[in-house]
Amino acid sequence: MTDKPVTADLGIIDSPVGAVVYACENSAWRAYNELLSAGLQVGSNLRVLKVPCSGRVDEVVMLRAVEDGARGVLVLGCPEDSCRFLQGNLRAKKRSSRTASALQDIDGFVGLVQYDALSGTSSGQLLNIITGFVDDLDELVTEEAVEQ
Amino acid sequence: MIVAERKPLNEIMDNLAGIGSVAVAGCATCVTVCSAGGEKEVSVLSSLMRIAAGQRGQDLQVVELMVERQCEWEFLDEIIEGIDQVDAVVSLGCGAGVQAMAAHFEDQLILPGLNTRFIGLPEQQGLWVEMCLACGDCMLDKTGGVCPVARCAKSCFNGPCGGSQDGSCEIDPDTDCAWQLIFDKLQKLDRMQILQEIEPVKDWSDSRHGGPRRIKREDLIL
Ligand code: SF4
Ligand code: SF4
Repeated sequence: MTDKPVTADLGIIDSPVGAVVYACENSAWRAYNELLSAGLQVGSNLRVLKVPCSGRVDEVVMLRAVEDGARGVLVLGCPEDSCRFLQGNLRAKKRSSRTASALQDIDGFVGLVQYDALSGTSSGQLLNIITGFVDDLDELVTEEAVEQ
Repeated sequence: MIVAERKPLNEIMDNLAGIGSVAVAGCATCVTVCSAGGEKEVSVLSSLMRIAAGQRGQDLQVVELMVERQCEWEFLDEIIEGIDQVDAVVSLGCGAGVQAMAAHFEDQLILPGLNTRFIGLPEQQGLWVEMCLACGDCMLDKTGGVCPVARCAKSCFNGPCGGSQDGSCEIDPDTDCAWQLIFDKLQKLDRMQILQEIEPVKDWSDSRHGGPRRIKREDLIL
């Protein structure tokens, strides 16, 4: 797999609260497809991308998404001990928090980088995770707007 | 190897105030192995700099460069073109790399992106520890291959201080007492008699008290 499908043109540059969700194809991506086939939407200002493992989403990938205009980056992997590549989910969790703290060092930057885990059959949980993430992000952006 | 870590982003950005274009230059040797200045770290820092510049309202072009070894002129020649096209360079080499670049690219502003910390090794993935202070007169032959200069908090040369507790150093329970390690290793080697010898006060003249040191090999100089 190359960097291209993960980092290229996320198509959310114009939107102020755009977010990208990196969904592991072994869990979150399946849950996402279940949601879609049930006719449910996860939000319009959001781009869900399939990755072969959450461990593929490193700092470079997350930061490129932010550079491309995303205010939020949500990485979704498999529950602990269930990673097909053994430790990809553990790495993704740590990398997400490292990226979040690196972005926090940038004065004035408002955004959210988070990691969460779920199984491929947990479409309801997926909806809750994404809704909560988008709400938190909206709140941050609204607070920023008020402060300005 | 040389172990380093990235400077705080704000310090790097403050150094770049008023600059329009910058190259972030990594080094593919020591600092790649310690995950401070390799290709990935160049990409990460470049992204952070672009995002930070945007927040600061600074129009900053950031390009990414890699050098096999920043501390050797021959390798620096390979990036001359890239260096010529920018207003400044943030080097992710160690202090030697930054200085080599500053000397080699006479008219270019070369800024450090790392804090060079020590000579050490990765004890486990993601954990680097100091092993050597480059004292110039290695005494590992007398200490079972454990350096009391770098690894004993007080650089004791004739056994532990009074604070060694259960194999740990009194300054930090997570740090092994170097003298405990020395004892254990010499015992294993059945060479404990070495410790009967009193180690005299160390001759530090080979260390860095006379300013920068140099090594000259006449046979290699043409
Ligand atoms: S500049 Fe030389 S010594 Fe420094 S990190 Fe690179 S290869 Fe190692
Ligand atoms: S004795 Fe000196 S040269 Fe040898 S490892 Fe210790 S500091 Fe380095």
